Amino acid sequence: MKFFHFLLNSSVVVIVSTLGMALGMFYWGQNTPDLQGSAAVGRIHGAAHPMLTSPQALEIAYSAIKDSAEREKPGDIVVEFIQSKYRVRFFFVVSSERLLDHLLEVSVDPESRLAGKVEDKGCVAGLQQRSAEDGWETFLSGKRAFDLSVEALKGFDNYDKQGKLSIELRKSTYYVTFPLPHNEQPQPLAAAYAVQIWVDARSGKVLKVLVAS
Amino acid sequence: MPGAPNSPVGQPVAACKVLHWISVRIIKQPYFKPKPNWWISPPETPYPSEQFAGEITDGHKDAETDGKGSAVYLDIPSGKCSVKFKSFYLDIEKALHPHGFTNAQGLFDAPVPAAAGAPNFSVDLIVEKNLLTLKHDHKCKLEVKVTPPGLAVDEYRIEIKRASGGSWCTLSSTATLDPWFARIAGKLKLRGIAKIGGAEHQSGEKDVEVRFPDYNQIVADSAVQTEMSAAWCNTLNDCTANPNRRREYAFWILLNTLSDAYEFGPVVTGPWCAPADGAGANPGPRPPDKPATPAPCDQGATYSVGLFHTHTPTEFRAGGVPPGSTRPIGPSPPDESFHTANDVPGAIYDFVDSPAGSNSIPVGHPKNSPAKLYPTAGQTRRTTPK
Repeated sequence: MKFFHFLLNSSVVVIVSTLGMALGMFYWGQNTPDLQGSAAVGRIHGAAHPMLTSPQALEIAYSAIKDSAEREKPGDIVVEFIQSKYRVRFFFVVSSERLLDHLLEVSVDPESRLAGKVEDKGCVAGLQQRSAEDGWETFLSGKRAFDLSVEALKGFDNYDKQGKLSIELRKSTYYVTFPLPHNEQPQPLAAAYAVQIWVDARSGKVLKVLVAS
Repeated sequence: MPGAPNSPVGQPVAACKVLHWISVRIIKQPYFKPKPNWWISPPETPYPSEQFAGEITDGHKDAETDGKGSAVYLDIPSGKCSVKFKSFYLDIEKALHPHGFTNAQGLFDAPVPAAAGAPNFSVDLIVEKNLLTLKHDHKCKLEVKVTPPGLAVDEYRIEIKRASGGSWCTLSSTATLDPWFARIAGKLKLRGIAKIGGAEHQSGEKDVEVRFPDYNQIVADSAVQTEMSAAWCNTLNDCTANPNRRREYAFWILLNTLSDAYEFGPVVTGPWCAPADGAGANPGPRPPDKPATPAPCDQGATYSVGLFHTHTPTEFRAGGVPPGSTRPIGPSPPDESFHTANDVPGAIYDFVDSPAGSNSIPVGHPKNSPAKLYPTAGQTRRTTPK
């Protein structure tokens, strides 16, 4: 409700946000996509000014790896705002045991909205070291699971736009996690996320939409 | 004093170190009465290789005198030292008892009736249980036992201290303490003391752990149940459609071991939440114990032993969250982390999952649906202090 009330107060942001909802669907294959029309009002270190969001950073980084042969392969994705830049890490599955994943890392400047050089970190220990089920080669990509999750949100945006975004593949399910909104008075007894969406890695079916308690 | 040659530049002069030392020696003293003819000739040398037990300021020593009849400890902290030449005195006792030696008499005083032969006795402390729990299993029998029985014992004491250190304090001045109610949590040491023939004899030290109550013991208490039920009831009452809001309740669970009753910290409410918001609460850090570090002989203390909070209904949230949403039940990862960080078990009042086995409830779940307590996974009970 807060979100819609906010929109009513700013027609400019209405346009910005409306376009932003479709963000996950439209910025495929562009190295430096034009994000002027995306949901870009948010918080960095408490400063309320237009700023790139984590989903937007993911789009930019995803465009930056367009030449990678693994781009559409399954794996984990983590977007974090670290030291004034977004760090987007793509952990591609190379074996079902997932003791090691192939890591591509892209940094995204929140001001210029440009991706840095794609860094191939080679095979590294996976995030969770969760194994993937047999047939993982045919699973959806992490990015596709994210896009399906954004669709399932149906406009729900009560999460921290600049917070840590994670897409994790465990067995044959993707867990797409949107962080709790930033709270000036943190509550230590709280939920772990604003919303978490479970996506079947084979079919793309949304299995569960879990919201904070 | 001048510093060492390799002193850092700028520190040519070192501060004087305050040194303490102690020398332990057995020395000959002048006879205060004429020596009888049968008195043994004292050795020419001092008393070498005399075994002793010393309580020196830097720790306990079991040692013996050197060839000059002395032992020296250097660079020790200031304080009190004591030394017992146990075997030396036993030798004297052994030598003189047949002649009716008593501590109170001089060699030429009138003899008293002969005492029994040199006693071969032992002192032990019998501890009924060495693992106790505050309030719920805190009754224990302690008994100082002198073997063989029938020996004249002037005085008994049962003493206690923390295993981590500190001084001994007296729990009882009787041979038996039954029951002893353990009211101070900790890893403790107990010992018995019997004063026989003017000398104190100690038992070996016995380890006892007095634990905090565990989750099951806490939530089974009727006072705790009453408080938790009231908080749940308030949580349900605060969840309304108009205004559409809800909030969590939380409070610390305390145990007063003097009254053996559970007490409660102030009830804390989380912020009001709209349907789209996640609820939460901030109960603050674990309240400090009172007293902060109770002595093992204290009559009681008030400890923080657990934390309770509620989760909120989803009945009126449908308009604020994605269609078909559910919410997980039971402790969240941040809940777990908070309880672990505060070293207490947690009790969370939340709904029974629906459908069964889903570990979640749907949005729109009626607020009067069945609910229950969930324990946190990490801490079963607060860690016993050392």
